[in-house]
Amino acid sequence: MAGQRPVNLFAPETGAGARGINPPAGLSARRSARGEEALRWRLLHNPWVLCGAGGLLLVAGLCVCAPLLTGQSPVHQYLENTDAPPSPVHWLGTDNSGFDLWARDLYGGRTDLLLGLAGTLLSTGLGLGMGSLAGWRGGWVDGGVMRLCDLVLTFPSLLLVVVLAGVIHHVTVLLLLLLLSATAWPPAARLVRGLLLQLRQADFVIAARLAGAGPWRIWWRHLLPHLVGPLLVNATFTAANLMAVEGGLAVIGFGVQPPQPSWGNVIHSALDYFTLQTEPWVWVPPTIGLSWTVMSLTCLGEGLRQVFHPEFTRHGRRGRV
Amino acid sequence: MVVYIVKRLFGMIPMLLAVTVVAFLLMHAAPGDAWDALINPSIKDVDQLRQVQAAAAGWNDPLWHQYVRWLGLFVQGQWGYSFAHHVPVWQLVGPAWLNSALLACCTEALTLVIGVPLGLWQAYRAHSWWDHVWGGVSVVVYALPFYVVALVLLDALAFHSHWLPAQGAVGTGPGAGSLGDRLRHALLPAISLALVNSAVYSRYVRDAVLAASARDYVRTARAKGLRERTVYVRHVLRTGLSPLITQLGLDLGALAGGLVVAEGLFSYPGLGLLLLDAVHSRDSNVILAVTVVTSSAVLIGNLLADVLYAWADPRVRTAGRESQWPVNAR
Amino acid sequence: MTARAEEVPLLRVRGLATWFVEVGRVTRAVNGVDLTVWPGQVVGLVGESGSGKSVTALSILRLVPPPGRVVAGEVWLQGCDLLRLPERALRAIRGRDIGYIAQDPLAALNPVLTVGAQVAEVLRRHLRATRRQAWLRALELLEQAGLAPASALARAYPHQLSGGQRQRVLWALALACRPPLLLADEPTTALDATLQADLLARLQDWQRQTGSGVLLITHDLAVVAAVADVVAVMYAGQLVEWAAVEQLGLAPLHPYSQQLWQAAAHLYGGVAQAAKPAVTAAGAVAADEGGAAADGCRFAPRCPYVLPRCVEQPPPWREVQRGHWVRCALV
Ligand SMILES: Nc1ncnc2c1ncn2[C@@H]1O[C@H](COP(=O)(O)OP(=O)(O)OP(=O)(O)O)[C@@H](O)[C@H]1O
Ligand SMILES: [Mg+2]
Repeated sequence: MAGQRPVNLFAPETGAGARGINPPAGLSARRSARGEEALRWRLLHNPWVLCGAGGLLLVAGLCVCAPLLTGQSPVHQYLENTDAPPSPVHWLGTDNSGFDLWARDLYGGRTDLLLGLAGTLLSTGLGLGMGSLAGWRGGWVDGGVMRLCDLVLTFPSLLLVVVLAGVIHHVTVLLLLLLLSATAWPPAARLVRGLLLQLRQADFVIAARLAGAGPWRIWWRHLLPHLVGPLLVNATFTAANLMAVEGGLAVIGFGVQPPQPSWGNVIHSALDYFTLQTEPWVWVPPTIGLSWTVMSLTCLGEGLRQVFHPEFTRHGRRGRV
Repeated sequence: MVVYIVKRLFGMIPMLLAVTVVAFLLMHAAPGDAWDALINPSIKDVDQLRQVQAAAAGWNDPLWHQYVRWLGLFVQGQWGYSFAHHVPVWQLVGPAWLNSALLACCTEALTLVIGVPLGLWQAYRAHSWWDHVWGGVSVVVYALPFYVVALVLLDALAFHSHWLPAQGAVGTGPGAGSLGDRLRHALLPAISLALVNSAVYSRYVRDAVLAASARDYVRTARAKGLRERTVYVRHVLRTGLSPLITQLGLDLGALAGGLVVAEGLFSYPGLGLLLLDAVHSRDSNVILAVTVVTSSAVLIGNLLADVLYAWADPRVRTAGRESQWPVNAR
Repeated sequence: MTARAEEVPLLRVRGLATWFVEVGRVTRAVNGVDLTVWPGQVVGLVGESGSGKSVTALSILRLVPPPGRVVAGEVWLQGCDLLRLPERALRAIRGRDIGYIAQDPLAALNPVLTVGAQVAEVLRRHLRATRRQAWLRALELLEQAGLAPASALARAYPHQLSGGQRQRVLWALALACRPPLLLADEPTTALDATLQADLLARLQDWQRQTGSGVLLITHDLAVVAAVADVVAVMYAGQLVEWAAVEQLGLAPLHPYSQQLWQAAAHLYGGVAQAAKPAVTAAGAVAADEGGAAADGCRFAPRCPYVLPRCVEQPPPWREVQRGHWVRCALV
């Protein structure tokens, strides 16, 4: 932002910058091959990104390879052998209902990861759609979408899920997924709307409009590339949050219902004073799994944020206090 | 300003109506009701009894009819009776809300006391090893599931040392029910929540302060020859911390609306626990009342945030007041 | 310029170099600048965008933003080298002995303090004035800078003022302690011609009264011609020409200065001609980002008269006439 460079109407970077509108740095130069290369370099050299992605891959690998790592079924109740300590057959023992814990930890991770991934995709997609509609159309559409956001944010999301989960007897994973996504989209929508409101005024969009491009084409070719970075950052935090919420819900008995395994309900089954004190193998592994995944996602989000918003990092423009 | 606040308060009405409509529909779309939860289905003439009750309570009327009737009574302050506890709903919601509000204030105060100094120090020593270490620690603390923090603290502070009561909101024996007693009971959930949330706050403060200190006007302040302390307090913090004030308002609203997981874990009788209880017993009047109170708290928190923001920053802007890390999702 | 042997220069900058060191990239924003400002003299610093003018001013104040660092040079003011002064002593000099007018008046003012408070602040710091005295003096200063009615506008926040009014606030701020040296970074851009003339007239008045020295950074050659005594032309972090304004106005010697002057002549010479592209410097090479060009003349890639030796070795900084310095192998 150091100087006023010659304004080229057709170059995204000068167009937005020259008007004091700053689409997230790192994205503004996205179109040029050099910019993309630089972005890739920054991604691959950011320790947070590497740690986060590595941690996620590790967990995902373990969960995907579950059948290779255990011969036991996660949903079979070994009724003759409940509440057993670790043994060669049941590596982490069994719980009060006779479920094999090691198998439940592995397969439960699948449920959690699936929930996090699908929920994030759904809510981000919904947020992108809603936000684009609001930011691009403006007027009453904008007002309506924003009020809807407010409504969802006002209706505390956990309460919604608890009410629904308590009221509907059988909570399946799919229902939980839909519920969580339905409450998680407003931040993405607001983000997209805010960016679009800025970008709409940018020179390169106006130029494209003057050149006769239709709204779809402008959205796809000119706007979407600027939204990817911020949405990606937002998505990692959404995923982390969704998984933490699922864990919290399961702990108070409202999450994924047994026999379907999830880290949260494994922990729930251990929530009595005796088990917590004397049988750490029941609750420590799923707790580590959940914390580890949330931590990896948070690291990844932090790294992406540094890559896409470099103003806070060591090498970007930064302040001295 | 007063006009603005009054206008905003009126603006909340449609939002609250929408909330009640959604809640009402939810209650009625689901199979089963308080009757099923309360009455033993094996008793004699259960269906006939039910018919009588339904006719008396108007459960067979069209849904919108029932809604209008409920709403009319609700705005008159007649929130109905709890099916499960056989007392007026406000006798349940009132004390529960007070407990939740107390917990919210304790939590927010502790969060600020822990989070803000850490964030300021992190910004002051930005990019030093201390900053990196604490940045890492705060990610770990943030990622730890809340209940893990809660259980560890419960074990250490309540079961082993008996410093703090493990559950409930009032104790027994002399002094029970006094403010001090209530504070002692709120302390354990508040500490657990504050530990997790202060990780977010410290991060937030650090980034806000760093962003503010890179601004041109801070350079102008230095070019004036001002002392570092003046630059920091008057120029960096004044602007850097105003988004935090907004966050404070939002969080206070969300916390005062009750915390399901925290209150459930500590059996702390706030709105969250009341809601859990009501959901289990299908106590629809209680559920509706709690939903309205909770939503109002969130809306008032939003208003508080906007008012505080306008107070802190003469350019009242509306955009960009959300933080990246959601705080109260637990 | 040279007849002042008995006097001491106000500001002497020697071999100043400021680099922005980032991963995989070094931007040499300022790379060996020598300047002298005598008391009562206005030095106009011109050059294209990104040539390092603002960074030069900030380096003098030692306020370059963090990835940047002053890597070499001396800045002598009143017998001390500012670059080697302890931070404490430097803070006493900033604002009192050096006034600074920042480039972007909106960004340079704190949005949550009234402009009066921001002016009063510097008075309280350096003149040990009471709150009340400082406020009254701030009103006076704002009035002098042409902000009327000052008593009302002093209570305004920066965003409530117009661009020109903000710029006047910056003037009042910079001149509050009557500093002997003023660094003014494009203090009249974004103003219309009459306002510009007004502010410049005020500048000259003030300068004549106090005998201060001014480093005036600008894009606008007309401004330079109107108020400057000496012109320094900057290109890619170096001075390429330094001369009295009359000398340079008549015969710029460096090819870059010539282009600059020609372009300006086109602009001011008539609208019809301006439509024709003037002799533009093709390809914007702003700051030196290291690499191949580091050896030879920075301007070589855009120079119409370029010779092989221009690319091979750096051109010398020579005094071709009395007080007229040029950095070009051809002159
Ligand atoms: N914070 C920064 N980080 C990295 N490089 C910077 C920074 N600030 C300035 N630069 C570099 O320093 C060079 C000189 O910038 P400077 O602001 O001095 O230009 P200028 O001559 O004042 O231009 P203008 O006339 O547009 O104000 C620029 O090319 C820019 O690349
Ligand atoms: Mg500049």
